[in-house]
Amino acid sequence: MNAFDILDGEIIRFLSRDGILFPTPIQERAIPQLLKTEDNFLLLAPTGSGKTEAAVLPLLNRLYEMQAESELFGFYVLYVTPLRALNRDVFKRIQGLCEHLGLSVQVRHGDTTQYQRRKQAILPPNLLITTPETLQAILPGKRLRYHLKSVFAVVVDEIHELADSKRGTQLSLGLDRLERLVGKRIQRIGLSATVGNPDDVGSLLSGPDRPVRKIWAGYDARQMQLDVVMPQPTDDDIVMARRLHYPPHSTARLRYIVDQISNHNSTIVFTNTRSFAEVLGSKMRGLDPSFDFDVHHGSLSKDVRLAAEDRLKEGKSKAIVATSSLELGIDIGQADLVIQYSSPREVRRALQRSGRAGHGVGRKAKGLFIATANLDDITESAVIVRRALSNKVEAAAIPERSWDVLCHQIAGMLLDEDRLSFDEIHSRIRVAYPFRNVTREELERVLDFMIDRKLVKKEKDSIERWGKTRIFYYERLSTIPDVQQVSAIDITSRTGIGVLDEDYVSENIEAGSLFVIRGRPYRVVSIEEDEVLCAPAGESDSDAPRWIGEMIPVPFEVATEVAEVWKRTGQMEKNRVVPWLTQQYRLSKEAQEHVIEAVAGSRQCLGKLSSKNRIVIEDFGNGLVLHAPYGTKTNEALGIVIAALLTTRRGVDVAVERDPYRILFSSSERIDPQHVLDVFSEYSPPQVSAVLRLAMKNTQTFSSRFVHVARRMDVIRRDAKLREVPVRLLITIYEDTPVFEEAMREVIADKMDEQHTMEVFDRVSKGEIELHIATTERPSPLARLILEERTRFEVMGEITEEDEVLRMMEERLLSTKFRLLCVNRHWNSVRTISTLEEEVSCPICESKMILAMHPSQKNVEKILAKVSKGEKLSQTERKEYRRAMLTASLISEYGKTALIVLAGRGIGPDTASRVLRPGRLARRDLLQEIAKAEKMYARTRQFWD
Amino acid sequence: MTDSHSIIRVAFQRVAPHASNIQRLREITEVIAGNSEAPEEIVARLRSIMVHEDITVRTDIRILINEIRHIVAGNKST
Repeated sequence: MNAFDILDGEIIRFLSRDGILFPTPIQERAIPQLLKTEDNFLLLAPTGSGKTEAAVLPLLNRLYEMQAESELFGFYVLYVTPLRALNRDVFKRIQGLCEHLGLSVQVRHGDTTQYQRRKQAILPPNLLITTPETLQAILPGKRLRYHLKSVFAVVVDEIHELADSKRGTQLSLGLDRLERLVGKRIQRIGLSATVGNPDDVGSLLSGPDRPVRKIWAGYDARQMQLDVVMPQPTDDDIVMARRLHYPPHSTARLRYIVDQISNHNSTIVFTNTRSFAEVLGSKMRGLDPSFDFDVHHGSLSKDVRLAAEDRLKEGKSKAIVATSSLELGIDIGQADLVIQYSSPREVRRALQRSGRAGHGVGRKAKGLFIATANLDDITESAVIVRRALSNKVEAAAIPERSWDVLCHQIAGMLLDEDRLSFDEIHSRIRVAYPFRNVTREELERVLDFMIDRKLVKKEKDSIERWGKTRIFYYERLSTIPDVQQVSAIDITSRTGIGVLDEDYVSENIEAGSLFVIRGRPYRVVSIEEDEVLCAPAGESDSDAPRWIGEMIPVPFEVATEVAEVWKRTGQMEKNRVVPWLTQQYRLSKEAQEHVIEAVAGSRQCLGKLSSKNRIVIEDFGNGLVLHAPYGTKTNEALGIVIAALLTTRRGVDVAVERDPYRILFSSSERIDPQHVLDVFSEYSPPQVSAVLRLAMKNTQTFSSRFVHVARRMDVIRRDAKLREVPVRLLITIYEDTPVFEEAMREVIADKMDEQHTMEVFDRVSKGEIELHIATTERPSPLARLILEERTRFEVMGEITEEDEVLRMMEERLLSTKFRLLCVNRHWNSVRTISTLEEEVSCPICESKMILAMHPSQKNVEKILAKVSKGEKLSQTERKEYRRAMLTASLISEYGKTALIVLAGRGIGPDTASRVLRPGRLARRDLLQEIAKAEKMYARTRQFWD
Repeated sequence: MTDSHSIIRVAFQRVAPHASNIQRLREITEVIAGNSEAPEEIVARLRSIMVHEDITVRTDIRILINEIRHIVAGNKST
């Protein structure tokens, strides 16, 4: 006897026909309980373990019984998922059984045609699969509202994905509105594989005062093989790297990926950014592999994504290079391997992605994490693998008291019921977990704001809907930030190939530009108002478009464990470290060696390594690096607070950069590490919180968030172009309103970890965190990770790749030959830059005035001779002399660095003197500037050559 | 007023906000309410009227039937 046996015979017959005879662990446990009671449930089981069926089978069983008693008319079960693609997938999974039972099931979301919508209004399906936003749309609908009255259960799939954002906050109030419409309790069932805080998520689903029964199953039986590898370049890779114009380490990883794909039936390669998915796709095509593959991400058109999914499912392609677009429960069939390129940065993400392999009951999830040759990336991947294998998932950060969502839902309530008293609104919103603590005063402020904006009106003791209520509600159904996008159209077929962010188009694209999308290069033909027309191009050396909002923060828990691994690696004997890193952290031999070596070097340099209980302040002369392994969000806040306080104390601007493990402070003047100690000792946690808010107010991040919130709260028109909005003025005007409060709350909650930041200050003041100052002559290996990766979190995201590109460029520059000529004509020699000392001087007279020119250029010496004799120079000679003397002046001031800059393509002494500025001598900055100058030359050379 | 008469009137009031053809639905309700019949007969008559109506009116009638059933089911259970 198993859980299926208590289902109706027709359901059992259908399942048997499909060969499904035994329930999965979650089905075995959930089905009997769901059949027995109408309590709320949270079903927690690994990806691919049949959660959908565990929830749907008992509900269909109930519907089938109801149908036997009387004819069904209306929606009875709502199945809510965060993604349209997931809707389609769930539909395919349950459509057969529904048909077999004579029950109707349909999908309704943003892509549903008007015809389909009308049909659903006339003949509603018994089970409706939809998104939270579409549920919001149909709640006040005239006809559909009636159909919703028969709902008895709502399933919320991938609930952690909604819980983490305002979509979940909105859904929690939406479910309560639905329940009021129905007039009785609705059974709520949440499904998830990866929830770190099931109690909170359960409360979000059900309300703070209603119990949710949690059913965990299948985690013990789950089979996962996760490993971290770091492919090293072979001789063949180095040859291939030249052919592909790709760094050797990247080529080694690319080759490794191609080999793995060839050795498996079907593979999903996950990258952290859409941009890099495109780069990887493009480079893979350059290798001309023997298999077909596709690129899949959220900015590609729906048709392209669906075709890619189907091709993998049908075995027509062997691989798919994807971003989080394929992370959630979409069953892409036979994938037997998942490759994660670079650290996935969160355990939840690692589990979701690895679960895509062997997605299906009884299959083993096989995941390979390819780390780049970077200590952070290797250790972070290893820690995430260990935590994933022990199911230590991050807690979902449920946004609370979101005033924009509250405004929208109050408008919705008034569409539902015309008018409500203040008390009624207050009691109704407090039923939803995110709003359980809203005070009467806070609600009054929000309502006053709405009344002022004419979104609702006050009549005696009641709040009533008004003319703008409906349009405000329907125009703001989605809480997802409204980044304006432009379609990219292939003019050869007039089909959409993807969407580009408006800011990318305006800043980076013009007619004739090349960019990569869908892993293929396209040339821009023209840019229209709402679309970019492009044509396929043959070249492959082009940029991938960038998209905003791609940063994935590393959580506090992961970052502190990474530091713990470094600490223990540094303390343990090698014969004990190796088995520990192998067994606990699944690191390959090459990756272990890299970690052991890098940790030893860092420890030697800094004396002590940072940990959860120790911050190391490294003073390397040109700046300070605060080694603080507290994760992206804590370090963001710590950096902002400390930089603001240092700036105030010193009266000189202090710039700040951060990554999950360290914070870099730089300034035009030396920063005394003692000042950082003073900041830690002088400020209490509440003061830190106040400073954070004051400092945030003036940042670009805040302005950007303010615009999104202001759009959602009717302060800015939804379609207003960003450049037309006087943002700073609006911030001042709305400073004391719920719009400002919400933007500040959102930006601090999303971008920062205020709690841990205050804790760090608190623990330092109590002596629980040691502050250790290390003075270094040059940045330690750990400091270099931030110095050389300043743009790690910028929009392109793939900094490691950019670093390698820069390193390659540096190799090229260093291998350049110059003819070097002493201004006194004592020395004339052709030399390769790499062979020179930092300071370049004449070996005979020691003059630092050394002229540099192309090796073939021999007449400068003659010109010098003429000058020394006082002979008259021709116009051309004068010009050459001036250029040569300018190179000498640069070399005397900057030495070998000047030659590196002069080696750049199209960089003459004038450009070099602009690139070489005293504040820009860090190698990475310099290389970036050279790359920019080379690009500029490439763009404009038609005017020069 | 008979029970059936009241059932159809209450049902009409409840579904009116959701009806697309309120005038036509009112006419149909008036006609049927005039002849006090048992709820099952009212439903049967509504079904026979549906056949000749436009698709959106048919849905309005379908909703009305549904509501009558709800009321009847509610009455039985109390």
